[in-house]
Amino acid sequence: MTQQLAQDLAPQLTQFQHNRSAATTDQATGAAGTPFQPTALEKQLFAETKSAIGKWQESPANREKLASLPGMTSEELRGFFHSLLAAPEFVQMNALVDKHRSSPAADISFPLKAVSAGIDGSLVLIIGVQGSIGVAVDPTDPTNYSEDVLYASGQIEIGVGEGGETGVVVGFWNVAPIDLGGTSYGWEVEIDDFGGGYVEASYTNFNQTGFIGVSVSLDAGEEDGAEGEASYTLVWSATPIYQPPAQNYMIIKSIYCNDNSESGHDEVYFFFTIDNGTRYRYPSQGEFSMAKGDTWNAGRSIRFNSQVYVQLFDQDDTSSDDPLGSCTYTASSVPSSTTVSGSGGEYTLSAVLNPVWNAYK
Amino acid sequence: MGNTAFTLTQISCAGTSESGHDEVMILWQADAGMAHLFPAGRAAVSMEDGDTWSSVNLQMSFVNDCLVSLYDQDSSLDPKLADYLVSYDYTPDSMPATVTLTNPNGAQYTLTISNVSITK
Repeated sequence: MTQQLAQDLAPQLTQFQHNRSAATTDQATGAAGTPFQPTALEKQLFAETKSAIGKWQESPANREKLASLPGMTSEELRGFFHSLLAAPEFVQMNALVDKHRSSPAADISFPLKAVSAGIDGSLVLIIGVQGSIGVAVDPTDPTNYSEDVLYASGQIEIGVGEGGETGVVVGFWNVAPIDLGGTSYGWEVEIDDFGGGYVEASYTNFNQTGFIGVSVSLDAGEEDGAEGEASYTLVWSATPIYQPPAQNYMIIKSIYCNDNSESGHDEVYFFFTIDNGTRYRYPSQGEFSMAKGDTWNAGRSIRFNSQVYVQLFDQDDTSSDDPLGSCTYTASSVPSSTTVSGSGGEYTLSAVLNPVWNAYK
Repeated sequence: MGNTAFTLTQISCAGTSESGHDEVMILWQADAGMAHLFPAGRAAVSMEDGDTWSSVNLQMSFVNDCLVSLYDQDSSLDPKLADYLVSYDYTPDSMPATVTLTNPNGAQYTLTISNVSITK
């Protein structure tokens, strides 16, 4: 297990273990209703997926990549799974995904809202998960990293040091990537003349959702042992929130409204672009209502090397959002107070660079 | 560099951002690193004035800060969307046992933490 990845995921794994334990006490009733019956198009999709996985795993270079997974950071894992879905071996599968999305209801048994790619098996060398870890994307915009999630599903074996065979698993889901989390139950889907491979339908009892999707692999993984076995799936990083390590650390402690840009309140949010690269939003969803005299204790920490470009906006339901001003912080200049203005509004940002904490002295 | 650990034990609601309930979810992020959403999936906790979510029990640790944000997940909207409610940035120098947070939309939530451990 890599130290960075272990550190990143340790809190998640603790929660994962807690929820996984709870899941095993539930009744595996998910498949008690109507079992999943794939349409002809879906059988074709699953068969092509199985074939693509097989071709991909035949390549020595790709097997070498699989072997290198334990050394990857979470962001590298994320990139790896995205590249896997875009690999030449999966071109036909992706074409069938597009066909599925545009097909009439009679030709499909579920709407395709997420496609996942991961590795399945005994993954204790990576993050201590026995099951699957991977990425799930929106099939309408599969290369948009801001819409994806990382997931871990199956059992948890924190502290166990033995690994085992791993293989690629691809999933097709009728829920959005962010909704893959929670407890589900897997049942093998019997498909005539499928030949090899393993197709598993997943069901959840939560909110009476029922069938949530299908995963395809070459072999039944560690999580597929018993029919109806409970599995817990954790998802995270639905939007670009994670920031890679950097040389500097700053916190935008608060934002004070000297004057709002419109009558009533401004609905304030801000973007921050790190080192001319990734642009992040805070809050990641929604806004904070502010009028003259209000303070928003944002507490937004930012890792950067050379500079951070911050842009304030007033969210507007009926037209494009109104800019409220911007500023650039650099490694040599992070004023404790910076006033910006735009669209008639004026705001003061309070920030600190590389804070030294009294509690650690 | 030191390390700070704590447990977010409970969340109390004394006001919601909209009429009826907020569907509360916790997004927390230590040291601007990996973000964590709790509970997983769509299992947000429905809260209104007077409610206490007493089984949070989330253990967190950080070096510089841990930003804990509450979101209201509105099932009538796109599932990817949620409304920001309030947040608190825990730092080694600011670890209040309870902190009450408000936003102008009417939301008022109190975060309670315990087991604060600071390693120098």
